[in-house]
Amino acid sequence: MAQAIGTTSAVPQATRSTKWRALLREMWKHRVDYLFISPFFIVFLVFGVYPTVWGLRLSLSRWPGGQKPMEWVGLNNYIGLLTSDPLLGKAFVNTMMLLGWILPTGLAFALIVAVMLNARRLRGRGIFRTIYFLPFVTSGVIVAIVFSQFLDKNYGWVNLLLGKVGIPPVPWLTEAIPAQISVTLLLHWMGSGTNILIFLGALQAIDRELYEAAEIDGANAVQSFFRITVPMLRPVLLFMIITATIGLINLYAQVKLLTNGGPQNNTYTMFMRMMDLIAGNRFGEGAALGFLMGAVILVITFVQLRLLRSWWTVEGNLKG
Amino acid sequence: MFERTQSMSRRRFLKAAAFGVTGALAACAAPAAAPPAQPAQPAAPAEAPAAADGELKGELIFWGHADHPIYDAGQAFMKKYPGVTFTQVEITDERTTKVEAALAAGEGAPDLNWLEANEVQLYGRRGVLLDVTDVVKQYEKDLVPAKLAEARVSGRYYGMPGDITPNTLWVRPDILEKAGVPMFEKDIKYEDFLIAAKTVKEKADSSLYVFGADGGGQSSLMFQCPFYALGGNISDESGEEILFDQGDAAVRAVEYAKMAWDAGAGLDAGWFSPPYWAAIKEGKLGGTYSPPWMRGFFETEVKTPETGQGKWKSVVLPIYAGGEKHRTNVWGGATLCSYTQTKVPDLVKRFMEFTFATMEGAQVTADWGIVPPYLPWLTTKLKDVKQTLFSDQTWTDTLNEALTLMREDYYRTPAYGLSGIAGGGPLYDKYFIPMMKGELDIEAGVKQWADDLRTENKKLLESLK
Repeated sequence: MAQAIGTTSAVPQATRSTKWRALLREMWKHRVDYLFISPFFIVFLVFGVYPTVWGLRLSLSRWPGGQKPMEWVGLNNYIGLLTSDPLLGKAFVNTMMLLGWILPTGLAFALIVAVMLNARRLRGRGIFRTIYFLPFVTSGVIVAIVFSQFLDKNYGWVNLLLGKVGIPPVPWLTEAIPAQISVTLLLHWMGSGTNILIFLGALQAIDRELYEAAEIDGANAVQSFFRITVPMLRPVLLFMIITATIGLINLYAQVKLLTNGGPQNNTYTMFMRMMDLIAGNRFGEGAALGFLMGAVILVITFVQLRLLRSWWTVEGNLKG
Repeated sequence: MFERTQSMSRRRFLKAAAFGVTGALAACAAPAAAPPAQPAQPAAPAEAPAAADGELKGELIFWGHADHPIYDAGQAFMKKYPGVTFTQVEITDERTTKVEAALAAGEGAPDLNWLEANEVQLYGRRGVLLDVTDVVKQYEKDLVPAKLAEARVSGRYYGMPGDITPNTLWVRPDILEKAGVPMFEKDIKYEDFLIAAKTVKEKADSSLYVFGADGGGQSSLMFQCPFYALGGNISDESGEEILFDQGDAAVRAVEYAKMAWDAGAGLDAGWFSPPYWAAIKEGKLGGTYSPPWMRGFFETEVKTPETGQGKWKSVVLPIYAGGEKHRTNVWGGATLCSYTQTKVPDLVKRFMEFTFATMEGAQVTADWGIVPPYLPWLTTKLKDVKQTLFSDQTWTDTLNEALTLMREDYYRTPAYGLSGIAGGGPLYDKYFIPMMKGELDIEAGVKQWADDLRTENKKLLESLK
């Protein structure tokens, strides 16, 4: 029996070995080509693959830092985070709330402005584009500091202006809901420029003849928007929803600088929790949270893809 | 990372620090059996290292924020020993990350770093700090005991004690007078202080303490100070047992803080924010609980008599019933440390010795604005410190008095950093303001806070094994 097994497995092994040799010969033949594309792979391996694998190992270990060895603890870091972390639940809820709030409003706002800028008769479009894009090229740190001054309850310009029209001071940064609104405003102000530009590019790629044909068929502007513009923007929309989701789940710097997670942790995000764990010498748990966040992103993206695909399919069927 | 040539104001640094490194204001331990805070007869002042010292050679790299007392000490050290090069690399928020990267790499950490008390305790337990027991032992009797304890982990010293930080109350008598309130007597009760604060707020539109709506930064002193005075502790000396909810110190301290909150007389401005400095310069802040190192920052901003220069006085903190013996608090105050990977351990030790165990070094750092822990200097030269903020030198008398009120059993272990009581952090945010607002019962809040701390501390200690 053993002999039989040996005999049968020897053939594919020999075939595999021949295939490998052929592959290596082929690679050697194109060695110069491979040499030219190798920098990307080297960089990817060193800065992409290696840290990910190292991070995964860290998330399954206990490590005091420095040059001490890691001690394997299996899933303990993950279990500890999910069962007994006093702050992760709040951080998760906050992150999801900000995502649910900022994602739709941000994309809707950017789309509306992009459609307006795309109007044929609009003059000075370049100036508007520059204005909207300006926040993106401004330092996030500076923007957050300026916002924190603008929104200060007692000394900020916003409340000063509101006071002029008889509105009492709003605790923009020191009460839960106003603080979440402040974070939303900051992110919209900083992020909409890029979103508008991407939408504008996609809008300009839509064939004008589609609109003209719709017009001849009697479609009004709203019908054209929902029947032509939105469907034609699907690929861009999908891309933007997914990248914005990733960006918002990894939200850190702006919130750190504007509210530092407050008031009472109401803007404390998952990324902030991860950073606190790492800064607090709990590297294993920090790494585990990083991978948990990656899992959350995967799940949300999967749900988004399914929902958007089913929406498009239904819409396509209705149209058909 | 910036070279020293790029300037960064103290205010900008603190702004960044307040956003990012609130844990940096944490601190550490002092054994119950340590000697008294201030010996009556300190040893004779030590001279700076002499003899063959003129031949000292080598390079020292220091990481710290701009406008730093250790930078000034470095300049003085180079002047004394021309063969030594001292370079400061300006690092603020990213300091911890860069240190961690260097520690993992096995090289690249600075020769000198300015670590907060809980950081010394944390890194000391990790075994990555240079053991400087041989140097510190020589000067043990000449250094403030409570500060010595902050540099000590399991009986070994992992840094040279840096600035001492007994908190006192700073007041502007001219603003009190405007409100018809007499200058505080030496032993004012906390309740009377709050009544005065309310009067000053009403009549002179000025606050006698800081209490921002976020409860962060200096606002936390309204809790920290009574907690310290009443004998509270976050953990035991080993850092393993959480004592936060043992006894009634935490509950009573929160109640005292709530009294200040409810009085509504505090300055509601973010610590070190432009409105905060504007309030100081416009006389909207007529008093504040404060550690000595704040003087350096105040003097950078308060540069004219119109903005309050020379108008401040300092008195010992108000009395919390039952906490008369320790009417102060320690907040911030760092330790000069190095790492095991330094290539110039002997030079590092000489620099530490020069900076905080000689009259010359102590004077240089004191001229910057901190208070060095060197007793021969404290007892003879503190009174001569050049300053522009206070109307007379009575603030040094107050400081000397506060030194005698310091506790030797207040432990600033890593758990202290986790608690956030030093000025903010997620656990502090979770419980403190809800208790102030009355949304959370104080006893229940303190208990939950302590329970969370136990969970977090257990995980932290496990991670260090």
